[in-house]
Amino acid sequence: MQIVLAKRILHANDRIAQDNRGKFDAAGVLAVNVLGSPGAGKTALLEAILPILGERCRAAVIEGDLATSRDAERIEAVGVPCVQINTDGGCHLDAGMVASAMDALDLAALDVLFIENVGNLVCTAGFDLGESLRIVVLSVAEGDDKVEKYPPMFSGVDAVFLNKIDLLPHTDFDPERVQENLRRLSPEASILRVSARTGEGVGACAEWILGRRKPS
Amino acid sequence: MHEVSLVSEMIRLAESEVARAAAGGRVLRLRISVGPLSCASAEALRFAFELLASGTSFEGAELEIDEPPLVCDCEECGAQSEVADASDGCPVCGSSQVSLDGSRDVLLESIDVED
Repeated sequence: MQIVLAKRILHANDRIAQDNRGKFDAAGVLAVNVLGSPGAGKTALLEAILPILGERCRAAVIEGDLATSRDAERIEAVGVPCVQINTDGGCHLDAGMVASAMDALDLAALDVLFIENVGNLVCTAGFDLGESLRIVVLSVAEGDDKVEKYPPMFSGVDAVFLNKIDLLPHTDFDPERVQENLRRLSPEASILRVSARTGEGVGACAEWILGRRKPS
Repeated sequence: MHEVSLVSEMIRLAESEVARAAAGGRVLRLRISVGPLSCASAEALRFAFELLASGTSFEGAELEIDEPPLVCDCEECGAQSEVADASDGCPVCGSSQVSLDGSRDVLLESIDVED
């Protein structure tokens, strides 16, 4: 006999992700999955954006890392509640890890929740966490060929924050190439140029996120 | 990527589906489809399956893997074609003004069980 299924193998993850999404929606929380390579500047960008957001809404962060609570300490230093997940070597966050971390947060007291994923351009793309937005932080230092080389990461994203834009004059990085390749995979995605270090473009990133909140 | 964890999820899912269908016979074949944007490699899935199936009711079963292609829609000539690579242009007119579509999913399509 043949059992016909056509079921996603990660359906166990998907079920938890849907559950997370339901909780975020019920609490009116905009959940943002922040993806990108190690060293792209995900945490640095959050450190820069959070003080701006803090004047307009209530934010918190879930930090995913293989080890250490270094990133969580950096986020707490800017006065934002943060829960650290250590994956103990795991290459991505999954919906179950986020569900556990959510238990440590009071969702009713939040408007925006950033989930900073493990630095990785491959595995993190495959797991729905229940987020409403996916942002990839791509840095100029990584090279302008990353969208072509890692298509799953860049398909279905809502925005690419092109970080370390202050390095542009010192490299042969071509932002147009990123834009053209991104358009093939995520035609609706925005590209925002930013430097967490100099502060250029940080305000626009904050505005972009605030603009994605559902009117309550 | 994490093919081993994908395959162990697949075996768990298949086990529960076989039990639910109350199919008592030997599992002959699992058919899966691996989307072009899934980040999973067919070769690594096969390797992980051999490793993880041994000692389970799936030992000796065939793992059949479908790999649906990326679909490229050309904005210039309107052609819809299949492409192997996300950096390829339209194979008909060569334009790079294209949009690409492909599944991110790894699906367990069917399980064949001995009657």
